[in-house]
Amino acid sequence: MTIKKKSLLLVTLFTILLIINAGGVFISLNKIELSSTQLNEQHLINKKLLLLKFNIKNLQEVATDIALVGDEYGLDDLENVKNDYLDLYSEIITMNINESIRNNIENLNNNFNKYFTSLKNMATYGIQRTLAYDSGIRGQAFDDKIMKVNSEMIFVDEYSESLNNYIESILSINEKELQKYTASNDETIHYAMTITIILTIIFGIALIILILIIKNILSGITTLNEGVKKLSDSDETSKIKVISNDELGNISLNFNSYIEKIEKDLEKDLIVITEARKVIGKVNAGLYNDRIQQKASSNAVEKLINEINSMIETTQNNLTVLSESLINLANAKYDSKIPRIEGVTGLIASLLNGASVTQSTVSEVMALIDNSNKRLTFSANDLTVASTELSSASNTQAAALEETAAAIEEITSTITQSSENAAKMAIFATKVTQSSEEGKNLANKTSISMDELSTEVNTINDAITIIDQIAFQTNILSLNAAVEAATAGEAGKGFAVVAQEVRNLASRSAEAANEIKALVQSANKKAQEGKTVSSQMIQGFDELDTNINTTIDLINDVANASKEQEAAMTQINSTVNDLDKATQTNASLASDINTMAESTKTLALQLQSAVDRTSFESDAKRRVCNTNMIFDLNKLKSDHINFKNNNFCACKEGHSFKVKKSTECDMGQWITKSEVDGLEFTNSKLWEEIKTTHNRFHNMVQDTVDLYSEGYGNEQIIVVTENIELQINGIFDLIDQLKEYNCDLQFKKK
Amino acid sequence: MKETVLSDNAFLVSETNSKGIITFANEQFCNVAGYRIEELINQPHNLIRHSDMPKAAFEDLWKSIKSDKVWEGYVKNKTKNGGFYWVYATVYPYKNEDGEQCYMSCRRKPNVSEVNKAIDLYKTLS
Repeated sequence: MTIKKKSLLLVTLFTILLIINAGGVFISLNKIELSSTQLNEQHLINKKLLLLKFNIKNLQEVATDIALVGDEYGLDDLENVKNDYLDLYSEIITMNINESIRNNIENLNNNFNKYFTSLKNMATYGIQRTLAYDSGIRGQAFDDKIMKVNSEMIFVDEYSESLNNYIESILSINEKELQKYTASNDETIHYAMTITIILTIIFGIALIILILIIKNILSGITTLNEGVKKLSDSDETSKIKVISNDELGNISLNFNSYIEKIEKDLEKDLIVITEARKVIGKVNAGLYNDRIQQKASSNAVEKLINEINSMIETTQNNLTVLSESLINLANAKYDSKIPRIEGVTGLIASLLNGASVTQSTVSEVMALIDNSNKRLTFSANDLTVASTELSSASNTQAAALEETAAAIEEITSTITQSSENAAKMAIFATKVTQSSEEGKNLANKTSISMDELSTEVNTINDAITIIDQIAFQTNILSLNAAVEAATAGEAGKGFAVVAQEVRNLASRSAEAANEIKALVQSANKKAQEGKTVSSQMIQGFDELDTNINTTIDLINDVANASKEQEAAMTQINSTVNDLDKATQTNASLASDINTMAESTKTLALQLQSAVDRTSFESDAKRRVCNTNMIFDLNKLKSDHINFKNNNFCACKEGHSFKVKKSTECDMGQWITKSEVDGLEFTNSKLWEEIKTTHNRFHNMVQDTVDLYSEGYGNEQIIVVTENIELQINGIFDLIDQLKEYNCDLQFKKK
Repeated sequence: MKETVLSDNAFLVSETNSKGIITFANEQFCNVAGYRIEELINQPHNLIRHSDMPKAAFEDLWKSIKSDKVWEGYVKNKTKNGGFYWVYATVYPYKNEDGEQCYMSCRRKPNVSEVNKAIDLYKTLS
């Protein structure tokens, strides 16, 4: 029997049981409910009847109170209690009461009206009695009133007795009804219990059947489970034992066919995996041309195979591009553009960047060699010309040197002669000195003689003065004698003549004296002149003396100089001899240099033809003015490829670390140093761009490290690494531009 | 208003879709901004935008990343409790596996002198 049938059987069984149970329970509960409702009703009727009994008693008490106290307001209370009675009565009469009770209650109610009328009368008489008493009525009239009350009280007691009897009989009837219903209720409960016990037994049997069926199903499941467990525990695939022909049996069968399918799929996948291993083996060996051709059975494996194929394809393309670039470098084509592959980052990008740096470095070096070689060719040409000139100059020099040697010999002999002449001159000069000394002595003597002459002349002058005075006095005396002679008249005539003669003599004396004086003065003047001449002569001799001494010194100097000249000439002679030898050596060297220059030219030509066979970036020439800068900056380029590779290698999930800041790496230090040194290119816009790009690059490498560390997805990591490649390329371009800019600056300065 | 200064190793990351709706925020970002992650997801990114930031700065940002270029700059953001913090942000545009445009913003502790320069610049822009 199938589990489905078993389950259906169980469901049917339990449905029937459920219906029986529900029916039994429903009937029992209905019965219980009915009997308990009836019982409750009987209890309620009993309760109401007791209340009715109490109400009747209460009416009597209220009426008696009014009658005794005479309280006319008590009548309202009485009416209220009566209304309560009426309510209770109408309630009871509408309830489910049996016929005898109903008859009794209706009889009771009929008697109640009489009872109440009597009660009301008794109360009214009581009030009247009290009113009569209050208004002072005594005696017989008052006693009549009391009597009326008392007689009415007797009626009331009678009615009350009768009503009470009715009530008691009703209660006893009801008591019997109550007992009847209680007994019926008990019977109902007993009946319900019997049904419950029967149902419980049926349920117990059903439960046993259920357990048996479940056990039967479970044993099938256990067998299946053990079969599956055995499958997962062992590598080998074994079939599950089919023990039943129910659904579990079907599951086992289906499972077995599923296992068969898996086995087939595994076989298929194994073929794919075997092929994949072959292809990967080739890839490991560097052969990228094969792809995995077989179809995998599962989607996941198929997807993996496709991804592996696309990985091989991409890597092959990347490596081909790289290989082509390297081949171009190998073929000395340093100007072929290294392509940028879109979306490539990491090591492959580093390889391409490395090739690019190599290319630009080689280009720059080639440009440098080209520039230098062109200059070298020029220099070698110049050197050839110069060495030829040197050679001919050396020959000319040799001839000139020979002439010089002859001239030197002549000069030497001239100098020797000069030396001798000087010696002679010195002797003559000494002699001149002696003559001059004699001249000087004579002049001195002349001077002294002149002084003496001057003194003598002055003495003559004094004598002449005396003569002049005598002549003057003689003139006066002659004048006096003439006057005396005139006075003497004739007697004195002759005397007058004598006097005249004397006077003539006197004037002639005076004249003679004057002439002498003039002569003396002239003599004096001449003497003075003679003295001056002799003084000048002395001075002249002195000067002559000095001059002669100077001449002697000069002659001595000349003599000495001549000797020195002679020595110098000897030296010159030996120098000229040396020069002669050197010139000959020069001439031979010039010839050697010429040969060397020629071979240099040849080498330069060879080098040039080698350079010409390469092709390099034409722009490179504009960047190579500063050799140190080329190599320093190209090192900074490859430093950054290295920096990126090293940090990328260390990237992994959970490993957080700090990469070097942009100010800490070699390029950062170079940037700082260039700024401190105030290099001209640091003021350019280009420089700012280099700093920004460099800074951004370091930041992005740090982003990569952190994204890896915090386990971000490929998309996030790759967008950053791709941007890093952009920054690296940017830095490379900018560095090249900077070199060019620096060369432009240097060129402008020149 | 209280300034939150980021730690030296701070790394705040958030992602938005092409409309600027936050699709991801890392723990550090939530902690600094003062939001729980569920308060940020599906909210527009300008939830954390500070009023001192000039419009021109964000115009520049959107212009760059819409043309698929990385944007970087100094940004003042506000926290949930009304404070603020400065970051040096790099915004990367990219497409996810489903081809949808996404923007990832990586933020770090900024250099103080650069922040001061940015403050002066932003005053002239706003």
